[in-house]
Amino acid sequence: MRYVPLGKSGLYVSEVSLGTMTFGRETPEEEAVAILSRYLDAGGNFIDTANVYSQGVSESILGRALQGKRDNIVLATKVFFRMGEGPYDGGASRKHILKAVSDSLKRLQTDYIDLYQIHCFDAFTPLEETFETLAYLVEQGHIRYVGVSNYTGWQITKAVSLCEKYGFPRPISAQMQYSLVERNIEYEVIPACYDGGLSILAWGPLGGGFLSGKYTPHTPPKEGRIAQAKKDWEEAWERRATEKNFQILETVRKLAEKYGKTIPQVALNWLLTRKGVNPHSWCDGPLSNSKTTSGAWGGVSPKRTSPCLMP
Amino acid sequence: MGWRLAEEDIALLDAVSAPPEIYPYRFIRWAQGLVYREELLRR
Repeated sequence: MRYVPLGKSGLYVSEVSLGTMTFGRETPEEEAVAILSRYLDAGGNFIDTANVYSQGVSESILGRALQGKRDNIVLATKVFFRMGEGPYDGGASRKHILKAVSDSLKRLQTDYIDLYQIHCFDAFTPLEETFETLAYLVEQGHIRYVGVSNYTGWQITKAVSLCEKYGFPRPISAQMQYSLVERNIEYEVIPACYDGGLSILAWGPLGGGFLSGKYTPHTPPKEGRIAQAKKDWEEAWERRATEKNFQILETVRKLAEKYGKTIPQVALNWLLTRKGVNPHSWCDGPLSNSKTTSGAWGGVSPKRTSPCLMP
Repeated sequence: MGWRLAEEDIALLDAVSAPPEIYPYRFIRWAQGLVYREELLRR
């Protein structure tokens, strides 16, 4: 396993990270622990979760499973999406972040979070408030590094600029949807990350399961993430099952045969060739299922952590 | 992940999966490139 610096920082992480979105949801705890063990055995050390994953259950599973292993792990989680119906149960305000980080630390059974990410841009909170709060959390020792997720290019650039202006810790990563079937971040987000010194953490590196290779044209799946996706979601069948995407899939299939690898392995390997991109995919839809993970990763680690985007 | 795709295969995947060209971006790249080249000539 290669270890690469995360963004413009001294934090080295395994180039493939472990996503845990389905832990406590499609993936029961016993299976989640088995996946985690395989990932650690393969040399991975970068584990990503979020407070909203299974409404805290993913964090709780990790908290139990990582006892005695914490010092050698880079643990990432996120805040933003709703954890309740109250006015302060979501968003990136000082009030919600301070409550959320406290709750995450309890569930994760740890004193600190290595990478704390804002899960989505909050249009109702001044960006200065969000990043001042994150700076405070770094000072207090609750978090080590700051990241963002699902930001546009200008939002990333604004965040980096205000951090430079006020002396706040700059974000070192942007977690974005990125795969062979979803490359739109190349227009604005990747240039912004390159300029700001952020690594890309690629979520959905297999297109929500589309690049697992189990889908064929004209046969919508009956189960899995694509089947469950609402029509306006990116991974919805209506959006994924395009002629172009099946052409991509066919190309990947031919390369998989050529290299003697699986379709997901080729799709992830392409991501590994992208400068500054770290795939993040153990929990990419059906791949989190223990029946398919071994095929996807061939016994090696799954979600990828990216080298720094800086030249 | 002890293996890597060959350059020609990376290029093949890049080409088949490339996001669609968006005209304003194409224009901006052309315009900025033009200005850049003109500035280079002046200096």
